[in-house]
Amino acid sequence: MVAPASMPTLEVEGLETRFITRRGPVPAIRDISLTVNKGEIVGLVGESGSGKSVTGLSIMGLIEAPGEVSAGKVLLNGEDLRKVSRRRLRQLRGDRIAMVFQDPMMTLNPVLRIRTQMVEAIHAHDQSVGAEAARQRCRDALAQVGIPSPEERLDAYPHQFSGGMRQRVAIAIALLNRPDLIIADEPTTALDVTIQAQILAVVQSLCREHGTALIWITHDLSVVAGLAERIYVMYGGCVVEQGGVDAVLDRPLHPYTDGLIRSVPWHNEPGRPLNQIRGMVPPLDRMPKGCRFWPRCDRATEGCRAPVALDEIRTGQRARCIHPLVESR
Amino acid sequence: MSEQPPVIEVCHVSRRFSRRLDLVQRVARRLGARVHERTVHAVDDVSLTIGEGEAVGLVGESGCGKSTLGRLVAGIDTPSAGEVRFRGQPVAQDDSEAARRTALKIQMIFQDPLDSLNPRHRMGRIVGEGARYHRVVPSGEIDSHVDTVLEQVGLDPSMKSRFPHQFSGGQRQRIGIARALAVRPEVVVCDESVASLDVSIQAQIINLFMRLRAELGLAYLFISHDIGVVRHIADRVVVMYLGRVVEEGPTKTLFDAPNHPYTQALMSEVPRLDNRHVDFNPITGEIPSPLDPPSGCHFHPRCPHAHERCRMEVPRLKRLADGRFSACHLNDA
Repeated sequence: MVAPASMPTLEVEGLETRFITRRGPVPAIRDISLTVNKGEIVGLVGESGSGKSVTGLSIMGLIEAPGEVSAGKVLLNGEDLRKVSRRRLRQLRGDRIAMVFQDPMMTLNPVLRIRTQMVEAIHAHDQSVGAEAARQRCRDALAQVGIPSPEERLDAYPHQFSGGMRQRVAIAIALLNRPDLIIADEPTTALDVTIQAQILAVVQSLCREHGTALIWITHDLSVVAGLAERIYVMYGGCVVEQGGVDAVLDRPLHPYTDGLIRSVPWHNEPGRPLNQIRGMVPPLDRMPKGCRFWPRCDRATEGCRAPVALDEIRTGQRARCIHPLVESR
Repeated sequence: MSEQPPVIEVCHVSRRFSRRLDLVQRVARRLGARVHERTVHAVDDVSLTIGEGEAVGLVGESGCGKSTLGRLVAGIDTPSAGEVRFRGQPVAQDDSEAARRTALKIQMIFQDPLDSLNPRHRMGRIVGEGARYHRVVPSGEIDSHVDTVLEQVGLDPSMKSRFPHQFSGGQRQRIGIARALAVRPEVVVCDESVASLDVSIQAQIINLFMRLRAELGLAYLFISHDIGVVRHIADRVVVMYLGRVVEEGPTKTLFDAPNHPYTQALMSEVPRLDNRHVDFNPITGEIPSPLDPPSGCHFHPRCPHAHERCRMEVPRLKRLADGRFSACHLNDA
């Protein structure tokens, strides 16, 4: 199926995922709508418990019991992943849509050579590829992510790589079949700064050269600032703000986004107390009604306890807030 | 002696870890095989001082030896060479009363509080145990002492009977801090103490560290891979690479104009909120294995300015005109 040029690579609409607990179903994410265009890098930012990883897993169809995707659409090139057969989903995963995890050992099998694992990923989707051609593709993929002497490294085991190199292998596997979309969940969080910068460079050039769309899930606003074109900020299972990276970071509308940005040490005079958001993220089963952030918010009023919509407040910038930070700052 | 000695002096300290040969290897060696013990110089001839109430930041990437150095300063580990002094006195590693008193004065706070708190002990006991054992306060006053410390770190004393797993990550880190403070230390070694916390909680804990320093006159050795955090909290910064100090200086000087090429790379590659739509163009190469570090300057295989001398000769840490120290041959040119 060839998608028309104007169609976004991924369109998520009203996605909801809940977990069945002894006290009844608890929604982990609610009303998530995202769009990612061809070749676009989108950042999905939030703290632990914000639902950012669940969002990634839900898009991939990797939510397992006691969890379930309970509402919404996930359109990959116009095809709803929630409606397709399991067989079709397996065809698409690893081929048109791939995921990279924080811990590359989630992807890599410790007892198999890298070559075995990579060739398997090719053959799972196209059995007609010959052994030599498959090896060539694996070698090229490793070279592409900057692994030195890829020919020899193909025969190595995962434990023979350093953490940064292992993450590159995981990315190389995600890239093998030239997917249209990669979902990367905190892929550089465990890595050192200089290694992180190398991975970011690889990912950026891949998106530019091949038009791969990318969702970069992270808790680190600063990484997304340099990498993404648009960002979605999540809190308590909802998107609370979305827009262009410059708009959101320079003129945040939601008090939570604003608080996050202000609490970054680089944004504060050294030695002075940091701006902090009081309190902490409430557990999922005790989320406040209405705006999830109101108990921690300085601008909260009685009206915040009613459900709040994600409204377009400035052109291209939306926020789920009835007291957004406009002008009056 | 006219001047007060600094609170902590680390003098030419090295820490080597070697893997003992197993039986087969020892026999092989007897028979003339070329088998050697593999030695890692985790910390290689490092000197630094921490003044009264000073916050020194220690930055570097994995494997650079920053945590090992922190453990040496805290007295959890013993140097292979050199010595650590507390107020001019060598930190002894025996069971003497003096050694115990010194050990109490230097406390450590770890990265993951859940790993460093006994899961079977209630919070009140975790915090009070050190103080009780070392008789920091008379035994009748332990409870009120624990309450005071808990209030200092922003924990509710009424939660004393809870177990560590019943607290959030930020609260657990506060328990770790309270435990360290309960024995009234003068120096606190913080090893990645805010690394595993969320941004909004991290800000709260950093503020706590700064407030405690102001209130109690604590000196910090603040170890972190997060340069932004160190810039915020430290007066002086020490940069390590593969066991050696490559640069040291006042925070502002070091951040405004890093001298060593490694520091420069580190600074330029830290993602910042203000850097948008970046074309990532990082320094190449991996951090070499500490088991087999490069000759000469450890950084030369990754350094854009490396020349012949860098491969041959280890650069000494030299004082520059503006008073900071840097270990780079380029400064001699």
